[in-house]
Amino acid sequence: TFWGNADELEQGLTATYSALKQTYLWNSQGFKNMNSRGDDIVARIQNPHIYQPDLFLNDPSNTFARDMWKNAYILIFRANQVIDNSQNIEMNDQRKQEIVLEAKFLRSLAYFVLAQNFQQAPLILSSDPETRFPEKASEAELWTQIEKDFMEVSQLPENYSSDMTGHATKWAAKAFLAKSYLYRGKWQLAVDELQGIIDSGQFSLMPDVYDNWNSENENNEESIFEIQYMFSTASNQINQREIHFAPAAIGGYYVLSPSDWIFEEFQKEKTVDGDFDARMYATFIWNYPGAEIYQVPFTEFFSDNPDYIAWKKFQLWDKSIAEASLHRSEINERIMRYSHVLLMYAEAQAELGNLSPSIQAINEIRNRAKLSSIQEGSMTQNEILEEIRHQRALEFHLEGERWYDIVRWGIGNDVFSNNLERPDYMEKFNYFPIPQEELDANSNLIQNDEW
Amino acid sequence: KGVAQNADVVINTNKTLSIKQVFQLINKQTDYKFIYRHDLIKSAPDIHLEKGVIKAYELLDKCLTPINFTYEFTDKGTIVVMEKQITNSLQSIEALQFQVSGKVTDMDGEMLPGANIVEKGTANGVTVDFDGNFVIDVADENAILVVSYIGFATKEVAVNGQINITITLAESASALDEIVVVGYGTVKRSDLTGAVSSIKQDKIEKVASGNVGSAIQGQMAGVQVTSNSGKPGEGVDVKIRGTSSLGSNDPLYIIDGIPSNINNISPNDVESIEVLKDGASAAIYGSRAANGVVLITTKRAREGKFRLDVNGYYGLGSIGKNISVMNAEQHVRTMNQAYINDGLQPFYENSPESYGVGTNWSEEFYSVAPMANLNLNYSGGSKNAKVNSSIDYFNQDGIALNTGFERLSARINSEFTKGKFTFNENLSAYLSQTNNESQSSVKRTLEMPTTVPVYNENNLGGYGGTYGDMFDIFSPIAAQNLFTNNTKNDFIRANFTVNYEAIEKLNIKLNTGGTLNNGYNFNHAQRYDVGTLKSPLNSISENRSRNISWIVEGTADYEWKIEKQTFNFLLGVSSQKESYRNTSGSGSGLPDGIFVLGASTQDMSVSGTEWNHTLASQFGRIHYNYDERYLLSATVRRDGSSRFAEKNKWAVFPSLAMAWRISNESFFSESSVINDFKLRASYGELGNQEIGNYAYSALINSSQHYPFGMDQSLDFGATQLNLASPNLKWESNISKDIGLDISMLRNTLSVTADYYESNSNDLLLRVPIPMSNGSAQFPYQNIGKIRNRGFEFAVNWNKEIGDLRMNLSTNLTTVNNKVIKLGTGDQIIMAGSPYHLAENTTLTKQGGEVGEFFLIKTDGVFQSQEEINNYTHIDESGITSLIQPNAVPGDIRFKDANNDGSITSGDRVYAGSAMPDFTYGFNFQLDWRKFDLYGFFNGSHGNKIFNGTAYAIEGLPNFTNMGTKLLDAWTPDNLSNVPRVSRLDPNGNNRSSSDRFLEDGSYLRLKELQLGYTVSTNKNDDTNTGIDHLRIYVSAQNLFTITNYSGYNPDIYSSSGLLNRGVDTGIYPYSKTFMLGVQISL
Repeated sequence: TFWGNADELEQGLTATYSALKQTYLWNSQGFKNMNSRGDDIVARIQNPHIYQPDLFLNDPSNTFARDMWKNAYILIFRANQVIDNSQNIEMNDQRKQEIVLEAKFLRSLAYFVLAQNFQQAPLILSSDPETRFPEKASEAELWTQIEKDFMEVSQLPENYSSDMTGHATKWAAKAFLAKSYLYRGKWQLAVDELQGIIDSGQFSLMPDVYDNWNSENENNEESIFEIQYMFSTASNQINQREIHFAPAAIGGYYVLSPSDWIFEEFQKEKTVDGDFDARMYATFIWNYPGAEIYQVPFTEFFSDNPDYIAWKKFQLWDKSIAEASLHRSEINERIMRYSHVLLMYAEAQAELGNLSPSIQAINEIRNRAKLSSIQEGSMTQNEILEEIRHQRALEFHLEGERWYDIVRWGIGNDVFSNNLERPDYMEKFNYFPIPQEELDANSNLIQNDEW
Repeated sequence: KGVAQNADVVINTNKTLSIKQVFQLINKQTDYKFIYRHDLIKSAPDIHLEKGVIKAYELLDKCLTPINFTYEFTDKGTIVVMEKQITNSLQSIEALQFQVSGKVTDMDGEMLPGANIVEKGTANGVTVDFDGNFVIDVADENAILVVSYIGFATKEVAVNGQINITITLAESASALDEIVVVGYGTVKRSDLTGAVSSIKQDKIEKVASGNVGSAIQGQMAGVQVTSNSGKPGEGVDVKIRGTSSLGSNDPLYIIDGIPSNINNISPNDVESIEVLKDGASAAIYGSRAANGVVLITTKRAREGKFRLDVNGYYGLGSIGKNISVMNAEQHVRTMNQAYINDGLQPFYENSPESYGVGTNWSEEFYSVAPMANLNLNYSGGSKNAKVNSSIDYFNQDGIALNTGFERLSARINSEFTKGKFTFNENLSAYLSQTNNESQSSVKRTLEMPTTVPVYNENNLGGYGGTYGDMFDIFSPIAAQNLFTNNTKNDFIRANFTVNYEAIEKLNIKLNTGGTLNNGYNFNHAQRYDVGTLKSPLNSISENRSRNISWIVEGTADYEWKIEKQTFNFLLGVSSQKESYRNTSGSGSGLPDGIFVLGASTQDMSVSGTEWNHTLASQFGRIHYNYDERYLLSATVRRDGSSRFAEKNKWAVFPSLAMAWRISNESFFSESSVINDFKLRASYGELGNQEIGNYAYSALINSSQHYPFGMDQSLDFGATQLNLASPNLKWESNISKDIGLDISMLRNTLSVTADYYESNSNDLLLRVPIPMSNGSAQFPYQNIGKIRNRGFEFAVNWNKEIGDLRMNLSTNLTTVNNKVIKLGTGDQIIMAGSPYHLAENTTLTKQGGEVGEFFLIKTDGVFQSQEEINNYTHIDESGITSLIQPNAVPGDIRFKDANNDGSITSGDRVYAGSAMPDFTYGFNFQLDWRKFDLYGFFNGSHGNKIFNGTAYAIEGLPNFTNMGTKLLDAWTPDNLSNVPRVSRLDPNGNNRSSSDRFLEDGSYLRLKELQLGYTVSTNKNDDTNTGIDHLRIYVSAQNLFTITNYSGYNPDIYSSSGLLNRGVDTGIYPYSKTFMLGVQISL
């Protein structure tokens, strides 16, 4: 039988990592759930399960929400198997403990997704739980478990040998722990964790921000935790994000598009050279002089639609049309990088009223984007917080942050009040309802009050 | 009696005896007593007897004929002597002066050796010889011949001075002597204790069809056959007495003793099909019999002259029904309106008129398609060596572009007898190829916007396609031309039996055989650029599978008679194994025009799977018959299956059945109305193990890889994906049946009626468990009970009026289905999504039936804002709120069934059943001189269909073309009850969870109408054309269907399973076919 030796425990852990790449987590459809509700995104009116959340017309029957829920629990089941079965395996104790911690890290990522998207959900911590019909845990209980686990996982090694790149490290655990604190407004605790990462000196921003969004410079010095994609005929190794977001002209599904608002937001401030924000060039390709896409001049490629705004971020834009049409994206998903750390740090410090360290962190981000530095004392606390929100929208566009930030900051009504295309926003849409099928299958589960 | 008549009477010396002395002599030598009136026979002359041996009847004839007396041997050991009837008084030995010769054949001209011919009103009779000929001396040229043969209706033929007569007998459907195949044996219908339906070859081959299943549709009570679609070569779904399982409801198919697949046999090779419907009949097949058993017997080698039959037909099919969709101008106008209604920019910029009529996709996609069948069969042989062999070719083009089915089959069956041994073997090969539709082309033909052109030479591949916000659908024309999707099956079935008659009535039989199925799927996609959809590389995938199964069975049966009691014993053991292995490969980047995997330059990948399954069994049966009055059968089978964990591997399945032939009781007066009357009752326990292999175990999936390392190399990942179900056990089924068989009016009218109830326990199902358990698939559980009960009637009537011979038969079936228990009790199972990503429509829960429609009720269309404002809810605190706040005039009003003030999935209520109240079929056969006419109707009543096609084109889940019904959509100027068109649909008008698209699915279809003309029947007449029999016919299939259902075909079965039944997801439509056929016998 399985789960008998160290190799099999490692295989179980590998299988748990592979669950990160399930369709509705960090892959094609998951990215839609993570992004489409933000004001920086417009969904194509094609598949109601995608555009209904975007337009806030979704209800418990939405299958995209359902499958995200399901995929999260599939990840949790695999992690729990590793944790439970480790007990009976005789092997090197240190590696065994690492494996358990890595599994807990992955499990916490899944609970993070559940807390972000559903607010409340059952907490399953065993592969053979007492009941198959669990009640849901409250929002607070979920976050408490997430924090507890990430804290424990912080005992992982700081780094691994180069053949183990991709495994979760101490720093990944601390960064996600800090992120959890941010969601709970625990600013000082967040600062403590983030300060540790910054002070370690192990990470720095890549000079070119685009190195975070292509397949060239993976697992670089900015990277803290990356989901690994590669081109292989083995199942589920290619990043499907590219084809789902690519333009129709190369066979992409262009399911989501950037909103006018975000395109303008990028243009709010010019660089020290009077040019567009460096991140704008790294994020989009539009009709600017000399713009090229798929090795063809932009105007030629989009001759019938010169106003098109294509994403460069996560796309195979520099391949030939024929090659790009194969949609073989190997681009890793850097779900935690040093710029996250810096902007989280800036936010937590600003919330605590420590404006100086906040501005320093913001300036690191701004300077890489070729924007001028903010002078200390030139901004009030609120202005700094506003600046952080602006920088986060730009820096993390399409990386699954903007929508959750809107919810976290409670600014949905402000953001959507003047949005004529999305008039149906209400606070209850901050979270998906518990999927109807889950309620049907589990009478111990009660729909959230707003729904 | 025959024994007594033929008893030898020994005369030891020449003498002359009085008639009384003759009687005493016979009495002394045979023990028979005489009953007679002495006064009436005393005038009889004395008889002179020569020394020697004489038969008893000869002796009696000699005595009694001169005084016009006759006699009768009775069962009670007496000989009754009586006066002859007046009508016969003229008759004398000398009067037998008119000789008639001739032949006796069946309807097909087949000789019937062994048929009996008796001169009416006399004991004068002969038996037809081996070649089918007879010679009889009758009293005069006006004599009447009574011709009888087992399995055929007895016929009276007036001689009318003819000296050579060919007598044709019709098979008698009501014949009680009909031999019925049951599990591991045969039985006379009159001895049957269970509920068994039977259909013979003549009815099967009336329906031109690619498979056996559709040929038996509607022909048998209790057997519901629905087709997966009208696609050539498509299989059927057969359900016997409803659905007793939530998993597989497929019956067990046994072909010539070998478990097999009904789709791998040509209908032309079938001799008979028996369906074991009740628990008692099926229990001999134990763990696989819960859904009934279908026994197929192929054509046997027959004794007699060699004979060659050639049957062929050619037909043309066309689409039977069109669904009306918008032309381009209508489409543009309506779609733009749907955008404008939501405050969006219209999709089409130019004026609707400028788009004109556009493309008629149905016209491009459907065409008139030919079908043809040619079958050659020869058979013949001697008593000890006989053979039957056939070859069959069938080819049907689909009415849809580039679809079709082709089949070639050949078989040989022979039987050799040597002493106590009989050897019998069957060998058949069946090769088929199906060209399938790709990319759901049938549905796409309706959905494809008519504004899109068929061809666009600028696109790679040359076809037009959808673009922009249009739903990403393949043009059906492009899909059928660019993609190849073929399925091939090479199937071999072989078995060999040896029968050893060890002593009289003790037969020991070994049956060994197996099937081999090599399956092959071929998919090829040419590179294309069709609007939004593109692929820059040619790609290919191939899948080969090999499924091999074998069976070894040994049985011994013994018949033991003691006085009026007959016992039949059967004992048997069986062992079976099935193994499957497949290999598939795919690749892309092939050069144009090359279709082999090896030419792939990119994305090469291979994979394979394997499974095995074994079954071991022991079984036995006792059949007891007391005086043809009381019949009793008891069976038991013990099965062990590899599909279950150790503790649940073995199970025992017993059954008991009884029958009482009331008509054979002495108190039952011989009545001219009722000829036979039998009551039956049975009880049986059955099993179902169709859950796939290894379902009980916690399988580890070993393809969950993930790359690690700076160089990203794949690490091997493995884990358990699904929750295990170690306690799985057999589904068990207890089935009870009471029935009666009546034969009336000189056996011309027969009625069979049954009432049954079957209870399934421990149902195996992948029950939806909370997704929070993290199982990738729901695990199997034994979760509930389902009850099915219902009535079945079958009536058969034969009548001859002059030259007109009629046969009418009809059947009717009702099934009442109820889920008695499901899971924890409050468990529900939703299913039946009619469309990609659409909401479920069916619900299964305790107290209801399996897969009933459960939908939000619609309540008309809001005609004004006022109506919306008036549709309010008042909560406990007295606050009034709108029930449908997102609605605008033209939107649907839904019923707030749970009265919670909003329309949610909680408002779903029972909306109807996919199961019919009853299904029925009737057919008639009229023969008049050389003409014959056959018609066959079938139908269903009271079932609902969720019209997924209408949902797709009227519910606008996507940007597609629309049905013309939406031309009447609500606008302020057109206050109709068709809801307004809306692209975003904030009110949920288009939700699939409402009853908007639920329709009545009742129908009556004329499935077959055939008119034949027999050109010649010169049986065995070598002097003439050399053709013994020639018949030509014309026929029409699916000539008309009476139904209110607006989709293509009300006779649907969702191939995606029971819980989706009655959900029409856009299946290949039926064709209406006209055919011309010929049957020749040499």
